[in-house]
Formats: sequence, structure tokens, C-alpha cells
Amino acid sequence: MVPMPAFFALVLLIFAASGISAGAAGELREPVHPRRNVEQFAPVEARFIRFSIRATNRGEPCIDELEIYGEPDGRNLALAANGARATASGSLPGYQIHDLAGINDGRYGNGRSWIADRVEGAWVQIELPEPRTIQRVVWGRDREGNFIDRLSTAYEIEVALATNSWRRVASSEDREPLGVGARLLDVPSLTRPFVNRFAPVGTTFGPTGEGGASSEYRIDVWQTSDGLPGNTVTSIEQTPDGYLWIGTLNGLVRFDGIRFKVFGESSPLPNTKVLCLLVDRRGRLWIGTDGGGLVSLSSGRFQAWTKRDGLNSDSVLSLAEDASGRIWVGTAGGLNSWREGRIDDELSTEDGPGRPVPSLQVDRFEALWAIAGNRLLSRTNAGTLVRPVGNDPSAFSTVFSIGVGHDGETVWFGGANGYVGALRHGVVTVHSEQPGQLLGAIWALRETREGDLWVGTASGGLRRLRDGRFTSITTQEGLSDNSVRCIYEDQEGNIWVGTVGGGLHRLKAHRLTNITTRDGLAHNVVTSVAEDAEGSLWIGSNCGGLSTRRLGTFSSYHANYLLDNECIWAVCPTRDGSLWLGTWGGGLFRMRGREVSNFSIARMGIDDPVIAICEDNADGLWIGTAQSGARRFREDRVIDDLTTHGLPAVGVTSFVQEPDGPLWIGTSGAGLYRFDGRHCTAMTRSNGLPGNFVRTLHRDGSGNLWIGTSSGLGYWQKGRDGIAAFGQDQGLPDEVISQILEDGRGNLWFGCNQGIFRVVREEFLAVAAGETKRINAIIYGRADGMESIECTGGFQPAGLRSSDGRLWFSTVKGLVAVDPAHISVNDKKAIVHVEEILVDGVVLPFEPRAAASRIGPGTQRMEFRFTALSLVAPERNRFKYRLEPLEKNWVESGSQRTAAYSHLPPGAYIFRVTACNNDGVWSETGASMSFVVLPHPWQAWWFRALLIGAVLGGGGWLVRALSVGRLRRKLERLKEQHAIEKERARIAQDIHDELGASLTRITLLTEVGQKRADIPPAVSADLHRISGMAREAVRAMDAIVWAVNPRNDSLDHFANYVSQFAEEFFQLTPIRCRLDVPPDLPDHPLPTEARHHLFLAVKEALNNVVRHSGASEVWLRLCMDNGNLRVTVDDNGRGIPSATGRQTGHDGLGNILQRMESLGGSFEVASKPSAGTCLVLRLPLPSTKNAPPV
Amino acid sequence: MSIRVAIVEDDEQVRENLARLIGEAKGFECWATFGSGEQALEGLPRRRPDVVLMDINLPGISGVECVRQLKAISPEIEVVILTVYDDSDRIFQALQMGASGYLLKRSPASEILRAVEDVHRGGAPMSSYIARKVVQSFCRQGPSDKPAENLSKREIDVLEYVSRGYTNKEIADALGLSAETVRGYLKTIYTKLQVRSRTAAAMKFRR
Repeated sequence: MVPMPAFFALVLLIFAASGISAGAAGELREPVHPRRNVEQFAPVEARFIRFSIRATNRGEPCIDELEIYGEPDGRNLALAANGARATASGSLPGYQIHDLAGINDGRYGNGRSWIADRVEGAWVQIELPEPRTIQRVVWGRDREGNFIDRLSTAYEIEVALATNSWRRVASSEDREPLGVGARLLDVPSLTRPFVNRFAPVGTTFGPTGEGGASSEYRIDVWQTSDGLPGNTVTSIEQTPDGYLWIGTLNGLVRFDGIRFKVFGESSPLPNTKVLCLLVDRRGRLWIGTDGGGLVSLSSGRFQAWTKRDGLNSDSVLSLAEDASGRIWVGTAGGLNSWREGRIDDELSTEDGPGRPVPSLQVDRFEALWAIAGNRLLSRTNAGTLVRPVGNDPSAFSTVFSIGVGHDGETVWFGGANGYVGALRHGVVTVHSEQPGQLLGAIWALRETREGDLWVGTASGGLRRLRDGRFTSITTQEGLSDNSVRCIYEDQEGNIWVGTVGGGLHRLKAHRLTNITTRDGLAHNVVTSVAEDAEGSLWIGSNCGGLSTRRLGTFSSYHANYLLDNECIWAVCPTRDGSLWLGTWGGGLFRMRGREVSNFSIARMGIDDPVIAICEDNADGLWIGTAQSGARRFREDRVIDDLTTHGLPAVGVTSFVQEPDGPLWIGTSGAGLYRFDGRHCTAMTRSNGLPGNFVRTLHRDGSGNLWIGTSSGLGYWQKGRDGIAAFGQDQGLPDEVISQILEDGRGNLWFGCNQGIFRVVREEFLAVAAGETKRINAIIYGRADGMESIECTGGFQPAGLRSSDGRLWFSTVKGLVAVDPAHISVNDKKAIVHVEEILVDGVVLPFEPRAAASRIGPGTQRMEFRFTALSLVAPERNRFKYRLEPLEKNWVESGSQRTAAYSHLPPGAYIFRVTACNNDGVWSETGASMSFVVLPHPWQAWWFRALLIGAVLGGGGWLVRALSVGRLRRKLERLKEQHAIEKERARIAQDIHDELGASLTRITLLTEVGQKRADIPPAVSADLHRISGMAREAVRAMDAIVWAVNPRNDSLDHFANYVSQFAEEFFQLTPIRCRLDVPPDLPDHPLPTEARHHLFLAVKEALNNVVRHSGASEVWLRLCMDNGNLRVTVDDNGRGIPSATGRQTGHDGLGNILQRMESLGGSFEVASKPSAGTCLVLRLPLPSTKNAPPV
Repeated sequence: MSIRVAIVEDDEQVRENLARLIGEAKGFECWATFGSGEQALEGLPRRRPDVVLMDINLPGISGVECVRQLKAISPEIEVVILTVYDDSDRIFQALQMGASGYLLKRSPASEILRAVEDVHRGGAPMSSYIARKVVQSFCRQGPSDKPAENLSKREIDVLEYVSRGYTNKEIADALGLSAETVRGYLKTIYTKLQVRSRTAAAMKFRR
């Protein structure tokens, strides 16, 4: 037995051997790998690095990212974003994805790689902005591992300080030639040599490791495609009501994290080129425009001040407010101030009047700071702007941008030559990045409440200054553009960034760490993860090799001529220092010291994939296979087969070895088994197990068993019979459970197909004991840093709690780590607003705080649109609402932001809505809105009183009792109306799912039957008819369900359906159907009834064409015409004799007319003999004018 | 060589009958079947079929999500969406995620086979309604900064004709092109649609 340290000695040895010095020692390096190659050499000072290619395995050479590293900082110096410039002998013409930019754009994959235009004499060169000490070059053919051609097999790397003095630092000469490894793929598994060696292809990924900036923040981007009116964002502010306001060059935008409300050309905003924004102490929004002067927005009303009111210029560049409520206005023509509606001309700068003032700030001491003429100035008591006495920042450079720090005393400034300065109590401190890493011109500065300074540059992206160190965030990390125009921190600590041409960004710190190939992982689809005695993690992947994490750094092992299987489905370090690997198609591997041994776990001659490995109590292993049960393995051979003890021959995904003997076995399909050394006993659904497909097992500290299945979670309490089951009804976010971990703080953590979730352990016990009904799960997903929310499972070991307390989950997009000790919760409650009320599709003008709105009698449908302003992960805000007095209980609406009610009886109502933020913290206040639905005259009290008066005596009393009783009954009925609508949608769904599936089965079965050779032709013909009828039944069902489902109640859905119907309808006829439907119909509600009748009318019209017209072509046109929806059916057939105007006698036309009139619409026929028929159907639609909200 | 078809469908009977239909048809081979998206994602990248028939209404992860993840791992596998009814929104989502076409389950066997073959040959069947949605989607997103991501004049022409109900053959005649070229245009339109929706996708996966 070889102890573990010996194995690491090997790894270190090979790491060292990958240096060029090994060549001198006679041992060759591994051959070039298509994915990633590392060239390590003695540190050398260089400005130019040239990679020359002598030969490839096939075709012109391709290089996917040439990376250059130096010390001490581990950043890739070759990046174009860091100022490096690439040149080459020539690039393959005609392929934009392979142009030279692909060599150093920081993006991996064939789609962003460089290909040379030749093999002979091809080279590519990186020029650094200034000489640097470098010692490592990393390159590959395709970092994503999809392509293996165009691989440079002979090459050399030279460096130089000037282009006439090249020096070779690395080459292919000391590598083994390619080809040995490639052959291995064809070697049949049975004749494979038994002893292999592993060799690492990748080395460590640089000192930044998993803590690099790229994984520290999640960056979301919004652009015009998402509803932003323009991609140049000039300013961002948040009003006290929680809305984010975004100024763009194409309009002002109000954003709630989900919906953009744009104030553009057609809005009351006098000018849509917004240059700056300010929220004053009273919560008013100030807007500086380019050409429209100064605008304020308060209580939904815009008010403007221009040159006519005394502004020096109508271009307002900057805004600031002082404690007295005075608004300072920096214009293109000098400084103005605004106080109580009056504009004053402020004294000009010392350089003279009329200079543009692009930036303004007021500090804690009420001093006004300004930039004019690229200088930092402050305002004296005398009212002039002068340079600060003593240290003058402008002496360092031209100043473009200023920002007052969080303490109110520091004035940050930055300008053309790329340093950041702080002026505090007259003392200037200057910060700059590491030499040679140019910041570029600084356009924006913002210090956060936490004390980070965010710096926006003109072309170099963002920098964060924290503890004197700069961290760079550029397009490489996910910005859509590197020219940053403005930065803002919202109330919840999200950083918002506006760029020139790249739209709006939100940056938020990840709560989870997602490790991918970018961090050095071999492959992103992780199957199994385990920790060895040294604290190193071993990570298996689905056919992408093995990875390890040692001392916080990831490195990877790929198949080459030493290792021939990359499908590593189970990794298990054992007490003796070995590492066991279960593979797909390659059996079981043991890595021990310098050697790798391979054992076959065969079933009928073929290797059954090994999906689970677990150490037993006696120096052996339990091996779970994908199809043939489990084996016990000891001393290099299989010593027992559990299928001989009653275990069925199914997949075994998981084991739990009890310290005192018994073994738990999770199977895929046959439930859970307990093996006592002699027999396997089953526990299945009939014992309470939520499902028979067990994915993972976890034994907690008290010896209880937690069972993750594909259909819920099971819990077996030690010593008890039966299993408690938990599913979505008990509050699980998802029922496919892949990992179960404990954090040592009383929580259970689960990996599932909807992310990772956490539940307090006691909550399960309370539900199991019947004390409560549901558990509360806190779920983590993309918004928290997961690149995919799908955890992988069905392998063992599956995820783990490592010795440092972190929890590790395997996902289809890498490995996800959670640090339970440091995971933060957003306790900031969302601010809830009712944004809009639609009465029969028309927006009701209302003021949120005004008296109750009055709704006219006979209202059919009211729709409430609401929002909750928590901007961390707005898609996770959840809502509940109720309409008092109609509803006593809250209606949970999930993430849906609307509620609708139909046919409300007259009376006074209060609509209440409340919401929780992304972490489930509910707002106590919520929002409410009162309104009164007015009665028809005959419903009013005075009318009833008159009635009573008129019919005095017993008769009068009777009338009153009747009418009150009717009203009460109506109220009862309408309470259900809301529920009915939901029910209708559900029924529609069910019909589809159930009936649709059965009918589909029939059609397919008859199709298959017809193909059989052994049936008589008559039966075949019958089958043909049956399949046709079944198909027709599906079609008919489709139409019914479409009509019933309230989800289709819109013009757009109608247009889609009717055009699809027409296409299919005419498909089997000789008539060609042409459509003219505008792609953008207005978003208009179309109530079920109107939709249904209109559709039947159109259908009738199309039917007429088929039956009577004899046409060869028909046009179906839909358009909006003066508030009417106009549907035209126009054919080129023989026409209808004597048909003019409102024709009723003809087949079906009467029906159409009747239907249209019942909807309040109209119907016309125009026809000439042998010149076709034109049917015009018109339906008036209520107008939907938008009133300004706020 | 016959076309290798995989089927992802949760209804066992439908799955088996489809498998039989395809297995017995000349020039087609039923290469693999899966009962869920999860299984499909595990198996498809390894089995590498040419075309996948994917039910949109799957238990567990949906067909749409399955297409998205599959195309991320194995972009070369073509996907045709199968649906019981015209669920326009979801079909369009699947197309944005990288599916190459869709079929109603009630379609006759001959039509199913024709669509599979068409997709395998690099075609991209498009109905007039889908064409309209494509136009709508591009209009709403506005022009991209990268010219290569915008529709060309010719592509717009082709879309216009498709949305009016013209067949590929008729479009070819009207524009003076070969039917093969029209198919090529449709394929590029789908590709551009996917690229554009991917850039906008970052924020769109909300539940």
C-alpha cells in the first residue's frame, strides 16, 4: 500500500516536469493537447511575444486564446482589454469568427478563435503596452474541447524587447510527438493494458483561482432588445418610492427590475435626450436634457425651465442639491441655480463666463464642487468658482469626473491620464493601478456605502478600488461594453452601470461560487465530487476528465496517451490513500502512488458503468453499477455480488454504510434496500418512499436516513417503521433531489433541478410529526451565481461538506460552492405599488394617495397591475393580494404582477397587495387602493326607496327583500367568478393533456397498424379512416380548448390562431391561402365571447370560399382601422350573384352577420360575378390610451 | 446512411409507436428513446443522433429547457419539437433556444418523416405564423450593434413571403432563386434568431 503523500509527490514531480528544463533532463513533455497547453519558462522581460507555427495535424493552424502571464499578479497580460495589441502573418479570409481579435479577446471556444491564412510561415504576435516580466504562455486549439484539427504540432515561442532581437523561450521540441494518445480511442476495452499512469495536462490556473473578479459578481445586462429606449445610458437614480430612473439619449425610463416604463417621444417629457438626473431631498426627480432645459417630475407631472426662464443654455449637463433645497444646474453655457421655481445666473468661473459645467457635487460642508474647463473648482463665499487652495488636483491632470465619498468629506476625482485621486481636507491622495495596466480616461466615480470606490473608464471597463487594490471588470467578465458613462448604488447595494452603446448593467456579489472550466476545471458537467484526507477535492465529469482542487487552486487531467477514459462518474478517495474512479465504459480505476490500475466490472462481457463507490467497513469497496446491481470489491477483485442476496439487477446510485454493519442501497427504479450481510430487504413506495428512483442518500448525525429521489424526499427515522415523504405539496421547490448535505447549523441543503435550496432541519421533523403542513425553503439559483440551476445526480459521492465547512454541489455548468457561514440574506423589504388599473381594457387615471376612484356602472372586468421594488432579483419577488370585502383570504399570485376581477357588484372595495423580496422577507404594509363601483340607477338606494314608497305596505317590503336578497346572491356568485376563470384555464390544460394524449396514441397506433404487411387491405383502409378521424378529433378539440382558455383573450392570440387555422384549413384544398397579418398588432384584450364569435364568423367565411367560390387563391387580411379590428376574406372566385351591401340570403352569410351584430360589429359583402368576393368583418375595440402614472 | 433519430417523449405508448414508425421507415433509424428531459440530456450527447423529436410538454424539465441545454452541449444535434396543440408561445421559445422546426403530433407519419429528413438536410421548416413571430421578435429588439446579427434585405424578403403563406417553391420563383437557396435563408434566419435571443436571454430566465 502506498500512502497518499507519495501520490502527491508524483503530481508535483510532473508539474515540475512540464517546464522546459525537463527537456534537458531527457524526459519529454506530454504531446500538445487540443484543449490547453502550458509553456513555463524562466522569467524574462519582454514587450513582444511571438508564436510561430511550423506544422499542424491538419489544416491552417487555429489558436483559441493566447495567454501570457507574469508575476506577481496573475492577470493575463495578452488581453486586448489590458492594452495588448495583436498582429499576425495573416488570418483566414472569409471567417469573421476566426479573425485576429479572437486571439486575445478573453473569450474561449472555436467561435472566438484565430485561424491563420497559411501553415508555412504562420505566426501571431502580441505586443504589450510596455515591457513586462513574463514566465508563462498558455494556448490551445479549442478551449471548449470540441475541435481537434488545426492543432499546432510544431511551434516555437520567442520574446523580444524590440522586434530585432528575438529570443526563444519555448518550443515543441521537448514534447512527445502527437499520435500515441489519439490511437488509444480505438483500442478495444478488453485488450487495454492494465497499468496506466495519469498525467496532468493543465497546471494551476494562476494565483487568482476561484476568487477572481469574474466569479465575484453576477452581471445582468438590459439593452434595447429588452425594452430600453436607447443603449447609451447617461445617468441612473433611485427615487424614495423604490423605482430606478434611467436617463438615456432616447428617453427617460422608470424601471422596477422587470418592466420598463419609457417616457419617450410621445410622452409629456419635453425633450428625450437625457444627460443627467438628480433626486432631491423631497423625492422630486430632476432631469437635465440636451436641448430641452431643466425638467422636474413630481406627482406624475413634468415641468420645464429653459433659456426663456433664465437658463444659460438648454443643455443641462449636471445637477446637485444643497441643504437649503437649492438645485445647482451645470449647463453647456455656465452655472445656474434653481430655487422655488426661480432660475438665477451664478457667477462664472475664474476663466470667464459661459464655460460648460459637466459635473457638480455638494459635500457635507455644503461646499459646491464643479468641473469646468477640465479643472476641479470649488465655489467661494463670494460666489466665484476657483481652484482649491493648496493642493490643486488639476495640477495632476485634466479632470473629467468627480464624486463625493460616502463620508461626505472626500472628493474623488479622475481624468484623462488614468489615475484616481481623493481630495480630503485639502490633502490629495492618488491611487493608480499596477504599472502598465492603463485605466484609461475616467468618466464616472461612485463610492458605495461599504466603502468600495467604483471607477468607470472611457474604454477600459470598470475598476473597483478596495483596500488600495484595483479589481478590473470588463467585457471579459460580462460587461457588454467597456465605455462606462455612469455608476449608481441602489438602496439594496446593487451596483448599476450605464455604458455608451452597451445598455444598462446590474452587478451584484454572488452568494454562491460557481467554478467552471474558466477556473481550471476539466469539464463543466460535474458528476461526482469527494474530498481526500489531505483536504483536496477530486471532481469527476461527464466525459471531460478529472479535476482536483488543492489549496484553493483547481487543476485538471485529461485523457492522453496515459489515460484513456474521461467519463468519470464516481470519485472516491479511501483511507489507504488510494483514489478510486468509476467510469463509463472503462470500468474501475485505482490511482495509487505512481500507478493507475484498471479493473473491469463486467456484465456479460461488457463493462457496466460504475456510478457509485463507497468504502465499506473492512478495507473493501461497494461498487454500484448502472445496470447490474452492486458488487463488493476487495484486494483487486470482486468478492461478492449483491444480486445473489436478493438485490435486483438494476442501477445502484448510492450507498450508506452504517458503522455497525448494515448497508443502505439506493437503486434507480427498485427503491431502497437494506443489506444485513445476508439478505437485501426492500423499502419501496408501498413503505412510504416518495419514489423508487433513489438519487442520493444521506445519513445524519443521529443515524436517521434522508433519501433523495426523482419524486421527492424521504425521511427514515432510526428504529422506526415507514418513511415520511416530502414533495412540492409540503413546500419543496423541486422533487428531483440530487444532493443532501448538512451545514452543521441545523440546516439541510439540497441540490435539485431548480437550483439549491436550504431548509431548517426541524421544519421537516415538524411536518413529519403532523405539527405543520409545509416547510419553508430558501432557494438559490442563477441570481445568486449559479450558471445553471440544474444539479447533476445519481452518482456517488454526490456533493459534500468539505473540511472547511463549505458545501459543494455538482451541476451541469460546473461545481457550486456555498459557504453557509457567510451567506447573506436580503432583509430590505420590497416597496409595493399598484401601478395601473384597467377597467374593461382602458387605463383608469388615478392618484395612488387620492380619494377612492369611482368606477362607472356595468363594468365587465377590472385588472390591477402592481409591482414590488426590490431590485436584487425581481423575478423572485412574490405577491399576494385580496379584494376586500369580496375575499377574506390572501390570493397567492407567485411572481405574477396582475390580478383581474369580472362583474363586480356595486359597492366600496379595497384592493390590497403585498410582496416579498428575493429572500422571502414580506412587506408588512404592502399597497392598497380603494374604489367604488357605482350602481345602475335601478340598483341605487334612492331608486329602491322610491320603489318602496310607490308600493306601500306588504308589497313594498316584499320588493325590497327580494332586491336585497338578489344582490347578496349576486355577491356570492361573483366571489367565485375569479376562481372560475382560473378553473377554466386549468380545465383547458387538462383536456389537452389527457384527451390530447389519448387521441395522439390512437393516431400513431393506427399509422403503425397500416404499415403491417399481414393485414387485409380492407382493415388497412379502416385503420386509415380511424387515424383520419382521430386527427380530426384532435383538431376539433384544439378549437374548443382555444376558445375556452382565458389565456388567449388577446388580439395577438386571435390573430395567431386564425392565421394558423386558415393555413391548415386550406392545406388539403386546391386553394392557395395568402395571409396579410401585421407582425405588430396592438396589445389589446379580446374577451372570450368576442374572440369566439369572431373566430366562428371567420371560419364560416373561409368555409364559403371552399364550398362556393371555385377560387384558386384567397387572402385573409387582419388590420386595425380607426379603432376597429377589420378582417377581410378576399377570393378570386366566381363571385356571388347580386350580392351587395348587407346581404343576408346567402349560405352562411346570415350567420356571419348575426354574429357580428351580436358583438356590436358590422359585416359587408362586395362581389362581382367572376371577379371574386370580398367579405369585410368589423369589430370595434375599446381604446387603450395610456395615462401617465407615478 | 440512414438518419439517426432520437425520441424524447414521456408517454410510453406514443414513444413506442413513434419509434416503430421511424424504425420501420426506409432511410431512418430509431437511435434512442428517452422518457424525460433529464434522461435525454444525459444520453443524447453520448448517443449523438442526427435529429431529435422532442415533446414540448415533458414532466420535470420542459422541452424548451431541454432544447436549450442540449444545444449548449451538443449544438450539432438538430431538434424538432413535437406538440399536441399549437402552443404558440412555447413553440417559439423552443425555436429561439435552437430547435429547427416543430410538428403537431397529429401529423400523418409521412409528414413527420418528411420534416425529419428536411431538418437533417439542413432545412428549417417555417410556418407563416412562425415567420410573423420572427419578424415581431426582430422588430421589438431593434437593430443589433453587430451588423451580422441583423436580418439582410433578402432574408426579410423571404420572411415576408413565408408570413404570407407562400411555399418555398413559390418564394424561389418570386425572388428568382433556387428552392435550396430559400431553405438556406430560412436556416440563417433561425440561427440569427437564436443568437439574438441568447444575448437577451441573460435576464429572461425568470420563473
